[in-house]
Amino acid sequence: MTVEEQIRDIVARITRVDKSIITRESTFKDIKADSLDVVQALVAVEELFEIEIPDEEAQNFQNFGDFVSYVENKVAQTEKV
Amino acid sequence: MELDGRVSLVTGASRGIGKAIALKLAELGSRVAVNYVAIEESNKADADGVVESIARLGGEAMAVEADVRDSGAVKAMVDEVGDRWGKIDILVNNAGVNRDTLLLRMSDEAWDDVMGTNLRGAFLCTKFAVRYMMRQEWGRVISISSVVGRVGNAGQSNYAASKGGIIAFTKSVAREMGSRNVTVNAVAPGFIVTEMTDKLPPETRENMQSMIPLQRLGRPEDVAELVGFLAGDKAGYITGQVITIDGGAFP
Repeated sequence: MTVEEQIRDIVARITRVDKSIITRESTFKDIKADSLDVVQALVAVEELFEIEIPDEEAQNFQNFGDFVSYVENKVAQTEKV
Repeated sequence: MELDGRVSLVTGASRGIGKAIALKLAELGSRVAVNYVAIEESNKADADGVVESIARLGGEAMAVEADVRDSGAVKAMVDEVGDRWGKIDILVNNAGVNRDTLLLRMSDEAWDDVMGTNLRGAFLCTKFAVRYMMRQEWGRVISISSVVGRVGNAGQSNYAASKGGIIAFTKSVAREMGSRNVTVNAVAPGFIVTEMTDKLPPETRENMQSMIPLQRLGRPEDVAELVGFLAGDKAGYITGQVITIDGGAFP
């Protein structure tokens, strides 16, 4: 599974929406995620990929695609090290 | 039974109120992780003793070592329980210490030590345990505060601050977790007979007793009964509360 697919699974599980409706353009509001859903997703993604996502960075995510891109970059950096 | 199929973690459960709570939760059908800290050598033996008592009653328990002040150790403990039994339903933040002295004589260490175990410990255990509870949309966090955290006590400014902190922490986390069906409550015992109160001079104990309408000091089992109730489905509509259990001394 790609990073994107894994994150989509996590977000879908937490927000209980069908994962097919989560696109890169979806905002958290589109998928009816409240602030606790978002935090829960961040923590789950941090644990899965063993990365840290500071709140200041997470606040900049405008949509699902931003979230995925950030994690993809982080994971790539970790792999290089 | 009320807690059949549940998994509980009780901190500071090798003796005193924590031990009584661990035994009660097991009696109600829960599997119980009995936390202890390896600071005193006797703690491990005491925790193993609690596990054996539960096994003798036909229950299932395990002893788990962790200093609740240590974030890494708490996470490892919570995951150990989660890995072994697949989930955590009930957390009882009971681990507590006191280092009593008047403010003017209180060292920085006495302050930090008490705040560290009593308040930071509750924060860390709750933070890691609720991850399991949120996922399954069922959970109980029950923290042992104290009447002293409500009304204060000379010579216990550190202890009272930590126990008052637990009350404010409880009310805040209850608000955060409500949408996930995780209830968060505090229990505020009064004078309970434990090793902690055994150290008090007899006249202090008599003095305490005279303030209690029910005319006796509390027993750890009194507190355990209340925690057992709060842990069950029947207490599902109670959250963000502090329930005092003190024989009527501080209504």
